[in-house]
Amino acid sequence: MSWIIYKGEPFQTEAAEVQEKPFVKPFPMALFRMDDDEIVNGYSPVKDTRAIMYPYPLSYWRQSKYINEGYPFHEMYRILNTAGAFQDVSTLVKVSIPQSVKKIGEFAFAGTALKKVRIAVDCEYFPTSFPEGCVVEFYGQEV
Amino acid sequence: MANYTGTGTQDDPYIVADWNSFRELCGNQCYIKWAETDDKLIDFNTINPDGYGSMTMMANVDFNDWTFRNYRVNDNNNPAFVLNHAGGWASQIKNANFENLLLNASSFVRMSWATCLCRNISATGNISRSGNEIILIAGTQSTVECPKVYASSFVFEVQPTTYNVNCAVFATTQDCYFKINFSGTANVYCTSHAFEDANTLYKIKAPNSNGVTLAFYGQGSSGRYPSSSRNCVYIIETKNIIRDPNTYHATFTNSIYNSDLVESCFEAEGLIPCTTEQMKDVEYLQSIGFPIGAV
Repeated sequence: MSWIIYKGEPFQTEAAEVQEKPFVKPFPMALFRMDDDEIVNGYSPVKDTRAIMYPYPLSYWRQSKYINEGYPFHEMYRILNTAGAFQDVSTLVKVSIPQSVKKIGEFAFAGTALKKVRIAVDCEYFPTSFPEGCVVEFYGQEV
Repeated sequence: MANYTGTGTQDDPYIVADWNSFRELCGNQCYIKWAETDDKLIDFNTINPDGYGSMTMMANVDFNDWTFRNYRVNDNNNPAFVLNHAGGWASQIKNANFENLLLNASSFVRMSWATCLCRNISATGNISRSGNEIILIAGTQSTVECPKVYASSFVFEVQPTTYNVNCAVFATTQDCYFKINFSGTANVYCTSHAFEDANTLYKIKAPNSNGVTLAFYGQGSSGRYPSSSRNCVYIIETKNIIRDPNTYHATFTNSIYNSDLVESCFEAEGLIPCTTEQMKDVEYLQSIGFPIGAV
């Protein structure tokens, strides 16, 4: 199931409105398609985990310990999309946060590779703003 | 007097930027688009904290990502409707955020009713009183086109009531999210009389409810309505997930629910029980064929 552009309009390839024309090979693994009158996709059942890699269609279920209490979620609906600005950017190992920054979002750097950050003393942040084990230092109070 | 530009056609919709103008126009068969501005927010605490009565819409509306905060419907004589559509016209309502809706009615409560298509709607709020059934997405069995709700979310606290609480009835839902916290004893229905319910997340906390029904194959005036659930995720905290009381059961395909948060649940082919731990385990879910990836 996925959004596609069909006749210039957003359109979904599932439910009661399955159309034949948008299903043109090659398919992304995540895309549902018709097979012997069944709607299937490349993951049912999953035989090759390499298929399950970014990027996912927005409607594809995914799991993160930081979102929806760790339960499955997807990114089609609006409310639970609480991902932080740099969340899960696993290649992020160092960041410079100036003293002028006074607030850091709930999951802004969660899931990154940061080991240590330095922020202003009066900067608000959440226990989940940074990855587990990341040392938070403050300007003027460096160890 | 309504303040707007445009002629209300599909190519030249009415452009509005205030609620009173919108209310004045939306009862007609026309096209309305909310204005493109820097501040797309209306806080009803500042313009009408006492709330409104229900209104009936006929318009095709693009809310253009505006946020409507603290919108109240207080109606002691009528149902409380938010996006009530008169139907009979293939209309769309899309791209709106309702934050902290406050709904209080002596009769029915409906978030959306008889609307042909809702897309990209989010709503959070509190239903403080209802004198009849609560149905967030309500179609009518008499309409040819059932309402379709795509990519929308509805998060509500529902105060105790003796009437049933329904997420969607006579509607197709897809890629949606419903979260209901309900402390009353009445029944909760995720979807019923529906044509399709796909890829939707339900989080229902109803510890005192007589039962939560996932998909109900209901009887309508024109026959039976075959509810189906495909690729849905149910996180249900209640005593029982009850059996469809009718002979004809809804069909499930590749939907999962957390079996350890309920005391009993009916079994259905295609409805896969998981523990809470398993529902948070991507590799396990993949191993049972549920289409999911790790972020």
